[in-house]
Amino acid sequence: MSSFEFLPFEISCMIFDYLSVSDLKNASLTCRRWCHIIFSDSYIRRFMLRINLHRSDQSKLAVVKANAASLSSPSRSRLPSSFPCSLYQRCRTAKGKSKCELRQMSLVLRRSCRHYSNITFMCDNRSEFTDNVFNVILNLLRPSGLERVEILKIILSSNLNVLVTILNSAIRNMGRLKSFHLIYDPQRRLQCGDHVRPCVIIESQTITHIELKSVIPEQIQLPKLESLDVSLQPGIATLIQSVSDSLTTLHLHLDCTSANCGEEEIYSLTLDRLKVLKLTRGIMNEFSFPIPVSSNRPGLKLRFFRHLDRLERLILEEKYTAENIFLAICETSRNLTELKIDHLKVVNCTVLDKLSLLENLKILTLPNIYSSHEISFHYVYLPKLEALHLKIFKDSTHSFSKFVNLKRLTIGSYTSQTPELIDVISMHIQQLRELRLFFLDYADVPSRTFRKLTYLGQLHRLELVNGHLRRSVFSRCPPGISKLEQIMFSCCHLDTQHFDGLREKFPRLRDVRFEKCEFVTLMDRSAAQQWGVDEL
Amino acid sequence: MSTIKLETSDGVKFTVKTQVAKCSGTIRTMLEDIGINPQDGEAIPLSNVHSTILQKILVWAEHHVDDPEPPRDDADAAKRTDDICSWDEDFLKVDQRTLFDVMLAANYLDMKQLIAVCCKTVANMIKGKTADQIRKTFNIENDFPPGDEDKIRLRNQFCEERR
Repeated sequence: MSSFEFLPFEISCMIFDYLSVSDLKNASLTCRRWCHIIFSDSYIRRFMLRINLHRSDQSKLAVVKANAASLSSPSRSRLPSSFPCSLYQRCRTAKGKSKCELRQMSLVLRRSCRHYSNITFMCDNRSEFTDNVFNVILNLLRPSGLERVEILKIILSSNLNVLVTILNSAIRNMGRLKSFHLIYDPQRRLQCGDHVRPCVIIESQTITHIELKSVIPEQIQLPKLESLDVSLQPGIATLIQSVSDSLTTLHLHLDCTSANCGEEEIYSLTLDRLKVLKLTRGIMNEFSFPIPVSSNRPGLKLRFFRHLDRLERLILEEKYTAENIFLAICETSRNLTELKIDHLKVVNCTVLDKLSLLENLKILTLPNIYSSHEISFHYVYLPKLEALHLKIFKDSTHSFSKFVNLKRLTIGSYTSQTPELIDVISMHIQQLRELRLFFLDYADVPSRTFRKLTYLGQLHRLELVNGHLRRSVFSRCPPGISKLEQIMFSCCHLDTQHFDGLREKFPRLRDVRFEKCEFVTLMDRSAAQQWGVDEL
Repeated sequence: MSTIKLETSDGVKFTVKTQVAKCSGTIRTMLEDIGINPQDGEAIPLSNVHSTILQKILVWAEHHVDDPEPPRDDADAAKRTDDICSWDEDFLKVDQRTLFDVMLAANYLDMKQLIAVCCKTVANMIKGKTADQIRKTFNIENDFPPGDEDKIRLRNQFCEERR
């Protein structure tokens, strides 16, 4: 039977979105189903507790977002829930209004036992309540449980010292706050390029994770802090030093453009409790060759890494990592389970053999190794390795036969070497579930490349990147008991979407994807190769 | 101009301009992401849509095919229902059953603009009415146990205390 009574939940919600509070109230009285929808937990998520103290709409100077995902507690009060949008409506009318309006709002909030999952609070310098704004808000929200907030995220678009200072006192009172994020609006930061250092002391007994973007507080007193996520900037070292006793996770963003942004200061610290260290960078052009940064005191960095003996995960996305650092990591951080070095520069090739010291390594990512000599993984023995990302070296295809327990393999390879490579992988890495293959040149991928692919009985996913593939490319796969479910082509040049015999060869195949692929009618072979050479 | 074929639940085949068919997010995904090749001449099955409804939806899509992308939902902007264009208003002057079916089909076909305009139309039918009037409009039965209605009224009091 077709009737509006039986509209799906989400469509009903969309209709109700267009209603005013009083209309919504009437709708809730219509029938049980509508009442149920309007008072449901998922519908209230559509309401944002919006507290707007802007004097004028043009001067949106500060936006405080309290995204308290964990605001709603399981021990919910048994009182009937109040109407959700009364609050919304009221807060909207608080725009530029006086104290009494806010008091009324607080009354409503006290009587309500709704737990808002999304709170947005706006104010600017000229708002009446700027100087004690957070106290007002805190008082407002107390009954609905700001004390229960576990995650607080604040995005500032202007330097509001007063606000931050008051915020600080509020944080001290949030008894369950675990994670705190303070972010200075990145768009503005790009314009002025400086970092904000408000006179704020963040003090909490409960916070375990803190994220600071382009903001350094004067001081932090967080005895339970385990995890710190900051961007590299001058003065950050002192901050890290002050929490180094409890810190186990450090995430540093190396997006600082100025030459001396405190990197050396970081290395002068001793962070021997660290279990996770990430030095990451923003999106960088894959093809840009790294420019080595010369340090005045290279020994400092070495000493830093020599102390990281408890490290379990290490991500290094520096412009370039030197051989001696790599060696220090292998010799010191014996408990590593994950290691990623974006750009590794090697002089002495036997240094890679030291990887065997990392017995527990499960994930190894070394996408770019620069060396004037031949590199070999011949003497590397990593029995627990499950995921590997490498670029193939000259005549090194056979070194892959040793990683018998690999489940995920990402490998960059020249088209001419791929057939042999796949043969070796198919014969030895029987557990492989995911294979990503990067073609490093622009030649036609010969059909013999995949002749043994079906030997990989556990392979579920295959991704081919940057290849020139013809419709016959899989034709030499013997029909097998392949479990392959997904094939993805990324940035490939293809002459068809329909490959010969794909269905018969891979009976379990459910998903064939094309991403940023070009469909071209490939020129005859010689012409294509000619073009390939030009391109190189 | 390339065309594709669509087949409805009752087996009627429609030949549609690809551009018009792509008003539907569902069909667009089928064509672009999954890589169904429309040149094959095979019809895309739309098992949840009846031919009479698809006919209607295609009329709408044909008229709106050149519409610009709607602006992203601004959280600050209040939801308006008085901005339905007159063509859409006439288009949706149908019996409730058809309107309901169009909404369901638009939902299945993932046509956000059409769903929005339908929702606005329905919201306009609710606006300014009492619960009783709403029930009458949509032929909804009052299934509240006696007394429950008062409880909800009490719950809603927060709204009423606003002058």
